[in-house]
Amino acid sequence: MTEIAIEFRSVFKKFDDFVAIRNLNLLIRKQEFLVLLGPSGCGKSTILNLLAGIEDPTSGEIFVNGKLVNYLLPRYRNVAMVFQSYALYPHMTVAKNIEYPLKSDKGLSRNRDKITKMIAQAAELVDITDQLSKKPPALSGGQRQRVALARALVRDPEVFLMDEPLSNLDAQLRDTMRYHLINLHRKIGKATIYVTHDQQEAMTMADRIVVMNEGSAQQIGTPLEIYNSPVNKFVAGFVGHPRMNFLPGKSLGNRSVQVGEFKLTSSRDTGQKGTPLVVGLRPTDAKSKKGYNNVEGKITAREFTGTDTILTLSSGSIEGVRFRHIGGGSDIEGDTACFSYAPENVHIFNEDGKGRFS
Amino acid sequence: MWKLIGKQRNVVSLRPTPPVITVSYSVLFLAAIVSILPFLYILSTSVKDTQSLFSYPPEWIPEQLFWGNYVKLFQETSFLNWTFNTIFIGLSITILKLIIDAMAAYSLAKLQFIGKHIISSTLLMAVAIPVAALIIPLFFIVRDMGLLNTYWALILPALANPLGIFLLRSFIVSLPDELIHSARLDGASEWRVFTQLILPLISSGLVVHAVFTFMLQYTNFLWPLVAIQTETRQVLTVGISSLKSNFVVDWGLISAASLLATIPITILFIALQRFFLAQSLSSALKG
Amino acid sequence: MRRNLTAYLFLTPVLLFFGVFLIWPGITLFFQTFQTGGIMSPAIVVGTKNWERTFIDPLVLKTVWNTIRYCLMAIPVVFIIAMVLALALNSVRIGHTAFKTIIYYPTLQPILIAALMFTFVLHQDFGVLNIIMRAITGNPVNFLGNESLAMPTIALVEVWKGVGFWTLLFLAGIQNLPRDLYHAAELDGAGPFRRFFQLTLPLLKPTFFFSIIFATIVNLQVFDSIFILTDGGPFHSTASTTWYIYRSLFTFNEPGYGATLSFVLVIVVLILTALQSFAFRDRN
Repeated sequence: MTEIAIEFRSVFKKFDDFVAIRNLNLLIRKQEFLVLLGPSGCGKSTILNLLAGIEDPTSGEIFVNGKLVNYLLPRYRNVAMVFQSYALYPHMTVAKNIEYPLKSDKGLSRNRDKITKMIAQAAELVDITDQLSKKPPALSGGQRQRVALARALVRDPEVFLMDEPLSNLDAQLRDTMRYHLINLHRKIGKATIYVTHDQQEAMTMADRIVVMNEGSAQQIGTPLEIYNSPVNKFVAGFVGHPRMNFLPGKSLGNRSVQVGEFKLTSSRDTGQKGTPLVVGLRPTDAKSKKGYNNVEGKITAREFTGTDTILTLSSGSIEGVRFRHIGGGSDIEGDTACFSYAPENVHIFNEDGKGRFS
Repeated sequence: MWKLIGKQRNVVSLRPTPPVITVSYSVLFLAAIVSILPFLYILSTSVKDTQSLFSYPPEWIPEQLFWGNYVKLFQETSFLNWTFNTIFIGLSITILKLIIDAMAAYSLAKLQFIGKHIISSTLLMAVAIPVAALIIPLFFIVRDMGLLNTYWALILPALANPLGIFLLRSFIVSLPDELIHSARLDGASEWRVFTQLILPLISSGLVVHAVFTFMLQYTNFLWPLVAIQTETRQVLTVGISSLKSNFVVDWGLISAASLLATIPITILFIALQRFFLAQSLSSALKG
Repeated sequence: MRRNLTAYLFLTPVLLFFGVFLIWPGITLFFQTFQTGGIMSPAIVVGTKNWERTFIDPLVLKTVWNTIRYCLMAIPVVFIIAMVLALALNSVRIGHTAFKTIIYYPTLQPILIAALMFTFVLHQDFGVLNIIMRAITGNPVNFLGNESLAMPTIALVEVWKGVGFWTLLFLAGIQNLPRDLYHAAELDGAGPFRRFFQLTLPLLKPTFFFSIIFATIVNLQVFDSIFILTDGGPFHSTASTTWYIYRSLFTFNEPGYGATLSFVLVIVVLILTALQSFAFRDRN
């Protein structure tokens, strides 16, 4: 069994009447890269704040390395946090910024040489050695980001917390930094909790993802599990691009459903015959030829993305359903197109959207 | 965010038309003359002897400079004492007030605690208390403390003025919370957050506060008049006013004293002009 | 809990001074209104005698009216001139800072010094204004010795000294207004006057609100210029409430009565600021 770095045990956080975190139970392993994914206001940043001690939980317990930290002040928790705005100290040089977390270590502060070495090491790791004497306002966004990382790295914390650290960077830089962060994490091997609203970021970086909505953890699992077996409509809709199509249907029993004029077979349970349910079809799972589970309709819109084309189809009973067609394709609006789905790609959800059908 | 503090925006919002500019300059010239003329006139008065002061038509620029008023001011009055007292008391109040107000402002701006709302609204309401109405009880309190006729009588009550707290609070509120969270996570105690982070980042606010506190003390009159009886312990305003209480008023002496009294604050003004004129002074009012 | 404690520790010094030199005097003031006794002699509780006297004493009403009269003369004039100067400053570029500096300069001076300087403007023999008067009419005017001229003259000192401060405050307000609105208004064909009355004035309302309240609180305590220029005369035509408070303590040696007058001043300030708040809120 792998060691547990952090544990949340039935944690609630309320701001007046607003419930920000609802009964959170979460185990985070040492060396794990855990991503908290969700829309803004879902409570993902609150989880970081609770762990950092910026907020106190309303109830429940939080453990770091088996130690209860609920009432510990932030400075005694030995967690490092990288903020979305980087939160660099604007009046201090880069070197002083990186040095700041070392100042509270009384023994260390007498050993000037060691401090200088530690700063140099941290700066080296994120490649900002030549910026050490500058002040943050003189740096670019990417450089500030790396200074913030160096400041987090310098004192060897128990846990790294990252609150949307890449969202203020432009798209290209974000890609490089993503790669860089993963490498860094492998090198350092400390539990990292990473908050983002970008599902692509979550999928590419995470060991495990926690999908959050309205203060509750919807699903916890590896990126593959989250993508292939979303537990409810919310998770299914939030992960994957373009967004999954949700079509109202009725169970025909025996793992098959009626959606409009189409009959689809799923590898999942569909319950008793006649039960209303929601069928989820990812545009990206569609095969552009007739096959086993077919959906057919008139093309009403066509978006060419370069590698593929997203077609929007409407038929008598379903409207605005999107499918991916690999490549350019020669279909034009008004043509009829047909797509087929493998049974394992036909997702079945409860009508109220609150869970997977069972 | 912190980069914006103290910076001025563009002065002209819309390009004014030529007639508007002409009228504006005329108005400003007139205002400038009215503002500055009294200073020039007492300058001319202060270097006249009493006889030529009363001559008509007046001698606007005296042909012969008469330094007797200044000599008398330094030799026969405690003018230098008053100046020293004013500056010493003003500086003491400014330094003490800066520290305690910044501490309180940090607490009110960024810390969470029970009773915060009550405390801050009480402090805010106190702004509306007319200080002049408190001089009688304050006189007896200070007397019972044995502080009448001491510097303490002027320094301590001045520390109770809550206006500066709201000025500094508005500066601290504009600092991002994340910066403070980050410092706490980096192992800083609240005191270190305050001294190493908050104070340097609101330095322009501190200067504005210092400038206004000093100016307020410099212009203070009623309370020193009540609390200090010993002539050599007086501040400038009260000292100079006492020159007028003689049976025969020596106008030359008074003009010299008035003019010299403007010098310390003028030096401060020239040195820190940017902060006197800072737009942020309006935030002192808005709290 | 520990966080609470730090917050209180940071507030302690301010609350301490606040309590000893503001709250305590406030409470003492209330009790002193029921007492009598000189600075040297011990206090005796006399019940509501001081209060009864304030209702009979015609000078109380007179000083309150004088104080309000002074505010009515000084504040509107200061505000209008300051607004005009702020607009003028806002539309000039060359010499902007120089004008700002010169206009602000009188504000630096203690009101006492400003008042003393005004004697050199008003004096019958060598005052600048009277030299001009003599050149025009042949007769000097005794500004401070005239019952109907004395108070406006005192107010004039405040106008001269106060304009600079409010000019800068209004200028800051004008410059903080959203520029896009003005560009939009200009595109809509609004001239400078319409822009001023339909945009600037309404948008500056919050600034005016705080300014008027603040100016009222300060000016209702008028004392320094009266003390040095007229000492309440002639015939108490410039006697302000604060002047009466000061005199009851030091000249008449009646701190109990002075405390009652102070209480009257507090009530006047509270009523007037409350009325102003109400007036501003009502129109919103």
